[in-house]
Amino acid sequence: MDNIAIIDYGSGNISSLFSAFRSIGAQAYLASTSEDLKKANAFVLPGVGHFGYASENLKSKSIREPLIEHINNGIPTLGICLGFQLLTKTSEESKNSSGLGLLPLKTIHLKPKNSLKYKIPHIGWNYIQKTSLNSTLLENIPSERQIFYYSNSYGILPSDEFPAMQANYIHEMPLVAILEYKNIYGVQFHPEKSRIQGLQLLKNFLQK
Amino acid sequence: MLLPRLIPTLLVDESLNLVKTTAFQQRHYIGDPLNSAYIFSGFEADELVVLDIDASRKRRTISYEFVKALATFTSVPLCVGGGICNLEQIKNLLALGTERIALSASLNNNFKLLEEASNRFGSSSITVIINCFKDEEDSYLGSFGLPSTNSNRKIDQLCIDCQNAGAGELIINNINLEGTKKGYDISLMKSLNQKLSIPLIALGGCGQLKHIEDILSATPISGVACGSFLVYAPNTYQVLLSYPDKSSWLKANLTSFNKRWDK
Repeated sequence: MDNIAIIDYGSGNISSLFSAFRSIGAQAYLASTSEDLKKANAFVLPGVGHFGYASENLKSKSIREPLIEHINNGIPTLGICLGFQLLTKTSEESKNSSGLGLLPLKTIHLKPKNSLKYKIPHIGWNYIQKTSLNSTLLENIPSERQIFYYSNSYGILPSDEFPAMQANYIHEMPLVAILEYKNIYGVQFHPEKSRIQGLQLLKNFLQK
Repeated sequence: MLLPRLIPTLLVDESLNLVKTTAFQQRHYIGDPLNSAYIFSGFEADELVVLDIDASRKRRTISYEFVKALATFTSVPLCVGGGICNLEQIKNLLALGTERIALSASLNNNFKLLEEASNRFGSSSITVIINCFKDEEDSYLGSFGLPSTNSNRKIDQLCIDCQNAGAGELIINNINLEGTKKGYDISLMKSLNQKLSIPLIALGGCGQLKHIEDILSATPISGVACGSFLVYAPNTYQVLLSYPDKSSWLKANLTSFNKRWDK
């Protein structure tokens, strides 16, 4: 697929994401203006940076509202790590900024009780918990490969009330690893740094 | 469950040769760092740490061209370090496709950089390398970069200060053990892990699988970094990069290690 718009909110480390798309034969470009959004077949909200900074950046570039409109119109959208958190309503990382609010979920600061065993940031390879629902992003990824690379201090609380496919990872408590809701997809880990399973997941997304 | 990381640690010198040091002194030439990084990436290493060990002394930063090539030739998470002393350099190095930046020597003169970097790029992007050793009274001291008489400090407080300033991870490099293949410093890592809430990585001393078993059975640190163990053939100083057998062994035995410190 061509014309994947990687949303630019000044987060910096997106070259790995471009390389990952290149390696699966997809063309991505950096979208910084509302004009850039128009030609996109898919949006990716990348995953490094600060919630407040990114949220304010979207506003100051005047792409926040057009982006929400395009997503509501059905353009397939993948949020990665911070990009996933930006799709929620709020984050404890920045109480004065709001997310895009497309997912009725909350992003919290991870504060494990057992700090001997569970460290923050949550860095490294963690498994996806088995779920009864089928994740379309995990198609063609065998269960022993359902392990992905994370680097986060904030996480998204699962919600039983929200009718979306949610698969969790465990870091003392369950947190959302993968979410699928209509045309909106979110992953807390970094598929672009998660071996062949990460690339397969990106391929699966591009087939939406 | 988050798995402890098994992290090959590659040291490069000023000519961009991959080298292995022993107790910070002798250097042994290993080969081409890009080729080695490519091989470890093919082995699906959990992460790679790549450090330019001459950069600080020569007052320069790890080469951007080199890091760019490193990110191009590999697809694994990367942590790079060597002479990094300001926010602009961190920004540039992250933009080249690295996950984490390792700070050390520059913190001696500018400890504030740690807090600034963590605020700007997020703590999970910032690793601090602490070199540690025992003094004459057998207590542990730590330093950023090379030990020097006026900057060495008690290791516990040094680590806590780094955590408070926003470090996202500490690599504790034991200078006395580096390259010796005598095993990790278990009592030190156990004690630090109880005091800190950020991930800790042990470096220095690993020579066999039992050393990894010993430390992970004693304390749930976030990772073990190895130089010699992953670049030499067993019981020799002949270069033979390895990883998959050790990584599989770790995954297969992890549950039994965990049980031991759960008790």
